[in-house]
Amino acid sequence: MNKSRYRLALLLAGCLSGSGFAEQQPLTLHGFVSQGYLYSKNNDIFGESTEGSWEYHEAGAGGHYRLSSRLSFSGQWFARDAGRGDNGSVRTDYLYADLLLSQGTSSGTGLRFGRVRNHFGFFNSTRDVFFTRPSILLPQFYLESFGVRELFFSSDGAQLHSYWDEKDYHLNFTGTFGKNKEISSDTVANILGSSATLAGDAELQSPISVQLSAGLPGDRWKTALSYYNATLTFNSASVLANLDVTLTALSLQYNGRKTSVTAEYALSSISSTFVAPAFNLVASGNTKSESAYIQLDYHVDDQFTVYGRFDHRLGDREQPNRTDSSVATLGSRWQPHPQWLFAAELHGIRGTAPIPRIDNRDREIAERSEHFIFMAGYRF
Amino acid sequence: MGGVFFQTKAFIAGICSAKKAARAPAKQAIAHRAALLILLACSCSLATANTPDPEPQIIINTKVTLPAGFSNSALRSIFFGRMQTWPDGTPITVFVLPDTHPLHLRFCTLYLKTFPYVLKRQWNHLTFTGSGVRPIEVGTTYNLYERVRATPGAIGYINRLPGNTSDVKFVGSESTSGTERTIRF
Repeated sequence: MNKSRYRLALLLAGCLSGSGFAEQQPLTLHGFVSQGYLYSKNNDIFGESTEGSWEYHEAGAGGHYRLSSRLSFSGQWFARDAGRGDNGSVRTDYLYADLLLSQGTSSGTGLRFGRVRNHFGFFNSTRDVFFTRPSILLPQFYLESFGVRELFFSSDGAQLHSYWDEKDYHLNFTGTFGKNKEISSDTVANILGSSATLAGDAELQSPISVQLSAGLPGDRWKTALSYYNATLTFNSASVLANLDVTLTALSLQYNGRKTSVTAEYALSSISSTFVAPAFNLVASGNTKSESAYIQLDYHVDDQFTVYGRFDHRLGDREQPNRTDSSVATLGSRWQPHPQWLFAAELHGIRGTAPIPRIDNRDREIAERSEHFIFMAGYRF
Repeated sequence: MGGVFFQTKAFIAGICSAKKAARAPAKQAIAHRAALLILLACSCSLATANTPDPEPQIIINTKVTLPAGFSNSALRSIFFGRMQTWPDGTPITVFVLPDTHPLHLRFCTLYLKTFPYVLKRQWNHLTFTGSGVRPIEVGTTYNLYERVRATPGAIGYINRLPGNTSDVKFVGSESTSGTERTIRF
């Protein structure tokens, strides 16, 4: 079933190929498809990668329709297969109406309604598109291996967005206010462990995502401050749980003629309360974790880029030696044509946090592992 | 640097060949050919050394009413996809040359203060978040000029003609080079 959907997406991509470069019309279409190959030592990632895995692909298609000078609509549908963590089912990535409230020569403000992307860090809003990521796999900053992507990837609600362009700088603001939504049992299991018995009634309440970004002309330097807050509630017959999650991030990027440097830092704080009435038990706690990375890109020419990244995470600031993990990445990207992209990466990993637990259910996660990943992508 | 070295070398070679030509009239024809070659090499070298960077000139369709205070920052808003309609409500259609075209690189660095890869990254972000539409890429400046002339609300850039100091040229389906209006920021 999943494979047939994937083929359908591929077919759709083929049929729509080329329309992206047509004369700009009220309706414009876009799409992408990418296929990865992974080989790893000691731990599995996205399928049985210790024996070589092709279980990593992404495909999406969408469009942008301008109804009038003030109103437009955008949507994208997406399928991703990444080992046991994502099964390739098609889902609505975003679907919203965008109303332009005001616009001058140096500023503009608009309001979006529907399912919108949460802006967090530089890459969360396009994290599933190979062509927009800084590498094949995202750094730990983006919590990819924790199986919680549905929590802060997008929100159903309203998004206020604004920009100011001045002679010497520009500013952007995005504020998203989401409505409550049900959380899948898979995500609950990923948060609380696969043996969790709380699945059944889990909800994400009042998600808020705010980002203020600034840059020098042409984005020679740019920076962003991101904030995300939401409450997760779990109810079962025996236990009530409440988790207040706050993520704060600072991002910085330099773009030179040949060199780009990107660095991001995130602090996450989780305040949890567990109540078990049958046992007259109340427990609460607070955990803070940090993650940061720095990536250097060297643009050899218009088509070829090499990059290196060091990525570090402290799972619990109170226990740094027991919960830290780091990933060293070396990679290269080759784009021989605007519609084709190829990349290869080597990862050296210390620690268990970067390894998806869901792909290693039947084994103990090794402290050290190495990955080789190759990905090819096509877009239109 | 290499060009200066080559010119000096060619100049010395030219003198030597001229002396040889004077001493040996029989070799005059060969020397003459050598001198011609040297002259050609010098002129090629000089031409290479003095080739200026292509100078871009912004072109906008005549049906656009340019807002008061239009400047580089507004231009960046447009090419980075933040400003998507003109003040009269006409959607902005942006035409660009390929990333590898020297005029595109010059336009990016001169007017937008950026590099093609940064711009491409921004357009990808617009496309895949649904917040905008990426520019339309055309292969040559002639095609770009024709597309801007024919498309209401269009903006792009072409090679600046020598002596033209204006920043913006308004082009339309009925305009000619004699009637095209130009302005400076």
